[in-house]
Amino acid sequence: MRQEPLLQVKGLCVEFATRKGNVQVLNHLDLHLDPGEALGIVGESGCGKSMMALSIMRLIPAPPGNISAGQILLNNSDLLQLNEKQMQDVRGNEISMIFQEPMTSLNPVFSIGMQVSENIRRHQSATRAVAREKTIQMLKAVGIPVPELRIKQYPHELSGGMRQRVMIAMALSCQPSVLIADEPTTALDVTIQAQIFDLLKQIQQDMNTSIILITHDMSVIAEFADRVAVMYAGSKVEEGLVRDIIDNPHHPYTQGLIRCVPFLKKDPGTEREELNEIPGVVPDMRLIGSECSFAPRCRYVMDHCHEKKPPEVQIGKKHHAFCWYLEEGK
Amino acid sequence: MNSQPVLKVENLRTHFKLSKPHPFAEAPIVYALDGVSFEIKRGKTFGLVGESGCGKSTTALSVLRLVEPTSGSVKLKGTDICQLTRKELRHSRRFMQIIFQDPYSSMNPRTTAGEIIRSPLKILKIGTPQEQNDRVEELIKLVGLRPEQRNLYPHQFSGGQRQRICVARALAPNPDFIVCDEPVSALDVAIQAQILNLLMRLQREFSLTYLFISHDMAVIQHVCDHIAVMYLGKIVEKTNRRSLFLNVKHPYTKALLSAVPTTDIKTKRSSAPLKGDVPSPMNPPSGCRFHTRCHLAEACCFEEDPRLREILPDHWVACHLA
Ligand SMILES: Nc1ncnc2c1ncn2[C@@H]1O[C@H](COP(=O)(O)OP(=O)(O)OP(=O)(O)O)[C@@H](O)[C@H]1O
Ligand SMILES: Nc1ncnc2c1ncn2[C@@H]1O[C@H](COP(=O)(O)OP(=O)(O)OP(=O)(O)O)[C@@H](O)[C@H]1O
Ligand code: SF4
Ligand SMILES: [Mg+2]
Ligand SMILES: [Mg+2]
Repeated sequence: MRQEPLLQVKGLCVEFATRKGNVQVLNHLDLHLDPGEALGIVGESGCGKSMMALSIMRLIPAPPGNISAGQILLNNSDLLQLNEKQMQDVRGNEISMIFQEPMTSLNPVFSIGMQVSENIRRHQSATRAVAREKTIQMLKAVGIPVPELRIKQYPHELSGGMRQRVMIAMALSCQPSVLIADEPTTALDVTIQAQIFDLLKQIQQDMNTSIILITHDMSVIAEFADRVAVMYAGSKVEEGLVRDIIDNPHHPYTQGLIRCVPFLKKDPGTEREELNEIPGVVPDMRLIGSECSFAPRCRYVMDHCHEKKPPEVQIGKKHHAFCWYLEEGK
Repeated sequence: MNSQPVLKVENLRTHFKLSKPHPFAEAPIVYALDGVSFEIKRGKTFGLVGESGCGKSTTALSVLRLVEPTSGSVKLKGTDICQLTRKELRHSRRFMQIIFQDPYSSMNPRTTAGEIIRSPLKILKIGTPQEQNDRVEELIKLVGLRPEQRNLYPHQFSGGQRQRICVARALAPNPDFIVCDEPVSALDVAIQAQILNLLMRLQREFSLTYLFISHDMAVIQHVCDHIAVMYLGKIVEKTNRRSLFLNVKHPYTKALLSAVPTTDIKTKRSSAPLKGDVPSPMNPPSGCRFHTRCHLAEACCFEEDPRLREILPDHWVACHLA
């Protein structure tokens, strides 16, 4: 039986007005998220991962930003049609987000207990005492020792890992069905990263939360996600189950991305080797027109790559990529 | 003939005294670096890896005397840097350079790329203006930038290109030894590969000696010949790259390795290998500093600080139970 997706992003376009003209930061993006699933979004800095997340939350700063086309369907109702009041109910109750920078999203002048319980009171009509109980319970659930004492502490008194746990507690306090985690561990040590991912996995199982995990690290995706979408310059270039993408990447960009990362080996040998490189740099988003945006760096580039957007090529049941080279080779 | 190491660090300690919380209190001391020894042979890369705050950057800065070590010695080609006068130190700077994590903050935003690369030559008074000019041109090409880009300002470059400028600047005085403190941590994976390849290529070409710092085990494994794992200001395990990964001995190194996410399903870890945070270096735990997080710890670990012992050829471990 085919499940209805919980969340669907259809043909999403986001533009930013700049002094040098409009920049299209998301270009007809399609994504879907099934109930209980962990979807990974991977791509280099600036490819639009955070913009995708902020669009779903309806938090794109407008102006200069603007969602110019598309739909974002949560249980089949379009979030883009909601007014700000209705959207506030969705945020926190239905969809929550953990931001890239925990320090900038926690308020430095309030204690963490205050911030978590305010968040609970804003979304659920709970009394102060109930909210406090719930806060302690949440902080305990995310692995903060002696939460009764910790609630009095301020963000700067906590380590980076602890702050990220507070953010997660806050995001989960109203049991959302979708959690978007935007690079939740980028600033943390691998040992703390492992703790945070254990926590997210446990939450995914216990509360049946669906998770969108944004990262630039393919090995994080491999460990955590069920399915992954690879983005390049505002577009999705490939999507599939994690094993398909990692063991059998098809899009030239995905192949390059996987091959250029040093992976930890059991036996590294005595000789050092060069890494595979993707030549060149990500393009200026203002200059992308109606071509494949990867064309200038692609080793399989052909004439019509420069002329028309590449078509969707089906590779497996849940695996597809957008590429002229793959289309030719079918 | 090449057996004398380019850099030999012995028992290096750097403690930071903080200001007193009140006039009659004792000034708190941060034991950032607490007795570290290693040496690096010509043309080789020595890696330092460990969690945030374990003292990697303090080691880097102390080795170059950009912070004053509390005790110990640092010999660069036989000369003890710690004994030099300011003037002598300035002279020896020509042989040792550093590349930082964040290229932008280590550049003056109002000077062009060419001037940034030339600056060490000016400060150290190396060559005539014409010679300096030629050298800048040569360096720009060497690190993969275009000659006309020398007239651009830092903000006109991408992060990867800025790191190339820093590499060129470090190479300008023709040093023997370069400290790379997290040189790729702020870069995207694709750019990271380009910069790591560049550093390795330059190393081969000019027999450069690197002290390479990173918190990323995979990067360390990829570029280093010898590796030391640090925990709270001390080296807990030190060996060649092969032995570290094949014969890993210290419980901390094991935990660190198994925390690294992998794309390999067979080695997927079951749960986080280390609980809790790193203790404060102001008040390091007694005995073995790792005992508070170590699942093997026994009574002796609480009391006695384990010494680095060579338990396999060229493989040193500081653990009572290894
Ligand atoms: N206010 C703005 N005006 C113009 N362009 C913007 C603005 N904010 C973001 N952008 C552009 O939008 C694009 C997508 O940015 P986004 O933050 O989504 O990238 P990202 O994939 O999350 O990158 P990172 O990995 O660095 O977080 C970038 O190219 C960025 O330059
Ligand atoms: N100038 C200073 N004064 C006081 N304490 C310092 C100073 N510099 C560093 N420290 C402390 O010394 C310890 C080691 O810091 P160091 O910067 O060497 O760590 P690191 O291993 O480079 O960490 P990271 O991975 O975060 O860069 C830390 O606890 C740090 O807070
Ligand atoms: S000495 Fe003891 S506490 Fe330290 S790492 Fe070894 S077993 Fe663990
Ligand atoms: Mg982002
Ligand atoms: Mg550092």
